[in-house]
Amino acid sequence: MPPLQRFVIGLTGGLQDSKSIPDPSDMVELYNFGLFRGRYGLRAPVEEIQTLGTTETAILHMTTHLNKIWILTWNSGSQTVNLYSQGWESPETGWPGETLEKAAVYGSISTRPNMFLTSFSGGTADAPQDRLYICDYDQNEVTKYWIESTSTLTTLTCDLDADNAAEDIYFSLMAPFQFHLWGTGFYANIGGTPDLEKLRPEMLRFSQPGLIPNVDPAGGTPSSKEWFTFNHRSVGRRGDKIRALSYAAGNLMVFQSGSTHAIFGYGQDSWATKQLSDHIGCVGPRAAVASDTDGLCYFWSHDGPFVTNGSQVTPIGDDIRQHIIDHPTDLRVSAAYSPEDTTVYFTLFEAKTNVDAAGVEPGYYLAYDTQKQRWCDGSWQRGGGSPVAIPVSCMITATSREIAEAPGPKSAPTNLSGTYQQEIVPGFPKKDVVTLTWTSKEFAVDATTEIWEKSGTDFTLDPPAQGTKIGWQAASRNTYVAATTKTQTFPYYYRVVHLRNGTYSAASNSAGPFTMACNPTTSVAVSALETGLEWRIGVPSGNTGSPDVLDIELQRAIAGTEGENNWYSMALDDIPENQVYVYTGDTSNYSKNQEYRCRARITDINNNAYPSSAWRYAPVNVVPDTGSDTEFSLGTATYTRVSKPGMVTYIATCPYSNASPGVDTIRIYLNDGSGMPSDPTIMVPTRSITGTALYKTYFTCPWEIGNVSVKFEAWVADTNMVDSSTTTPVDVCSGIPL
Amino acid sequence: MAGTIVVIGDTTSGKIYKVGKIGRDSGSDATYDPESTEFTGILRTERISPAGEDGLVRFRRVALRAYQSGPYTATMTVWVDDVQTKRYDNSAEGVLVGSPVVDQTIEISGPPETSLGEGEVILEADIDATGTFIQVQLELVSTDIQGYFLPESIEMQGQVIRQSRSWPAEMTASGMVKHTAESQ
Repeated sequence: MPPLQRFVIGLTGGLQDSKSIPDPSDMVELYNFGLFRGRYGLRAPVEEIQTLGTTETAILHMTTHLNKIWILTWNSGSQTVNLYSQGWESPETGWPGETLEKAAVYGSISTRPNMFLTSFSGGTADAPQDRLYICDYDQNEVTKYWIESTSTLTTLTCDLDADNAAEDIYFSLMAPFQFHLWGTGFYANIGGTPDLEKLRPEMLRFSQPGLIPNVDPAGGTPSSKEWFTFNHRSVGRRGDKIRALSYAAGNLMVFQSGSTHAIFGYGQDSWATKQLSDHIGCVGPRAAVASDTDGLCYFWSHDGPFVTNGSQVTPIGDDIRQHIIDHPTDLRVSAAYSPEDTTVYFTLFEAKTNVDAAGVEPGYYLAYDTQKQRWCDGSWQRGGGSPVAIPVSCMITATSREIAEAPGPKSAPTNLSGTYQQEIVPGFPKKDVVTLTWTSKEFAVDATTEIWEKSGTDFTLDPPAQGTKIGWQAASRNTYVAATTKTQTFPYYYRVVHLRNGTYSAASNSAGPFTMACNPTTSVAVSALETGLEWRIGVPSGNTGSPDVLDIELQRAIAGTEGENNWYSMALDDIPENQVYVYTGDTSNYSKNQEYRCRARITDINNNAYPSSAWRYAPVNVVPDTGSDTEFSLGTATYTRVSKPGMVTYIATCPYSNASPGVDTIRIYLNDGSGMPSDPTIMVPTRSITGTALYKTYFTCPWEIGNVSVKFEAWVADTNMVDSSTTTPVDVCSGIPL
Repeated sequence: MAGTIVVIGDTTSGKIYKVGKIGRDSGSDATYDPESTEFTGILRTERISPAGEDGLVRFRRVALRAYQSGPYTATMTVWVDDVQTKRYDNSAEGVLVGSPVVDQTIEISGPPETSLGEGEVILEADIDATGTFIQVQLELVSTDIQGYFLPESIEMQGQVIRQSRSWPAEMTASGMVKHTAESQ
């Protein structure tokens, strides 16, 4: 018998269905096998980690963020899109780790949406930002972001068209690149509707580095923005939607349905784009993945699988053309990369011939060994060869990391105390100085101490919810001088707290209350024009405190008298601060030949008894030569005794001049030598007195002996307008002037 | 300990799954399927013509070379010219009814008691079929593997009855393009 000859008919290889002449390394089928270090290895298809909620309808997307797996789900019953976090398996009990339902992100979602999660870490060294963005590929829902540290969900808004009104942002896809966050598909049309604002699907916007706000040269509100108006790039043809974002060789790969582009650079001034293919693109937002280990990006196009190194696009599906034909693809294709076995997984969403009893399409994937450049196959096969039905919605690579927690402060500062004094330096605004000292408990070079202040009531410091941070310094320092010009007396309280690596210690004890002796930061300047009857009152800018009020008083000297006490005031309306006010007054209030002066000050209308500034007077008084000649004037008062049987009667007379209509009042005071009474002795009934005449009234002396002097006062509407002179005291008994 | 997994989301429920890793969880602990904890790996070679496209070979043995570290059971199925190899049916007693041969399925278990433990094994099976091309399928059920079982190559042993003809020195336009090289 001739000897047996040996022929190798099977070697470690991969799927091959398009080769005309097969060789031993070509396999027709490789179910649940993978290429493993020069041999084949069984691969367990799937293991259930967790079932989220009880009625979730579908998994929409997943990503890793803050060392957890984050999952976006849709619930068709409640019509909500929900966010979950999934911790890693426990070393003792395995999967699942801690599962938490975080938030209902959107409501009233009646049809299954196409949404994505994007993780971004940025911010400054002492204010890190870790955000998880949620965006709608179809741009029906506004983009939002989740901050885990505060458990807050925020709508993304920005004034991108610089019309001082922030718009809701509707990105279709987002991805971090070079410490910037990129978003696709949004265009802010000035005054446009949301539909008009999505007209540029080929556009990408990029944020400020690390999402650190800065002043946008284009303006808008607020002036410091995370996204600038003119920070955007476009790729390909206008209207051709960007389908997917990925990475290759340091480039941001941007895929449209029929073209591939690469964006490279490091910042706003250097971003550039290049087109790698004008015919090959990506089928959907999940169908591209960066291999991470060799700088390549693998993606599924309408012509099958391709790979790009950031400079060219190369097909890799030659060996599996029949598989590609059997499973036409759409935007639901998912790609994931496993670095441990350098395998790229593509899940295809078309049914194979076998379905389970419920008619659900089985999960089907093609695995590409990037080292051997061979393909493997695998629907999830049960024992006995029937497929397990796991229709795949998305696939990601997740890596658990041993992230050492950056240390926080050791403990809280203690023994906080303070002193207050007002610092007065001529020529400078007065300052309210609070000097604080404490015992520091943290001395690390990267730790700081923050000084917080609160007015009115004491506070339990819980930054940033209560109080105001007024300063910070190295943690090893234990004194702080707060020198400001307060505009409110209030009681003020202070606390200090250590900060390290974004973590606060507990707060120190409270120092205070301190009541400020503050004055307004500025004073008024009053001037009068030579024309008189017009005063300019200026309140220079820089005056602080709210709200301050400008008091203006117009004072008129009483004719025939001397001294400041004889000025009477007309309080004017309170006038807001921070303006140069020209007061002219009502000319009807002026009388010819009367001397007027103006004074002004600032007063706080706050109920906390805020002191007013000192009165400032106009440099000159004014005697207007205009004005109504209606002033009531009194001449020299006299009285004579008129004897009547049984009574000593006197007549008091006083010339007056009044051409003004209106109500006037005459008050007559009798002084018996003990001083002019404050209340009139004789109150003449209110009547109008006009014209020029001699006012005469009779009175009976109430005293038997003594000296009496008489004074007339003319009043207008309860305002003492003018006084007469006081008569010479007369002995009432003798009637003879003393 | 840091590790990387591929996670799958279900489009029809709130379930998330992790994809198994080769060499680490390819055993019998899969819990994906509520009805079963086992899964099947299927490896099928291409149709290989050892003597060329129009050659003729009597196929007598199939040998599987693999690396193992514990008990295993592998099932091998062989087709020659797309017809499954046959064996004589020795299950009936008495009068033989119908065909004396049935489809052949080869089940090989190991390691043998004399095994020194982990190492390479060669699993051979007898077949008897004559034809031009051969195709072999290997099935492994996860619950039948303890440790790991890593197939490396599959070899056919047989006798070439007729070698395929080589190309003439001059090739005409009507000549076929498809050709295999001499397989000796």
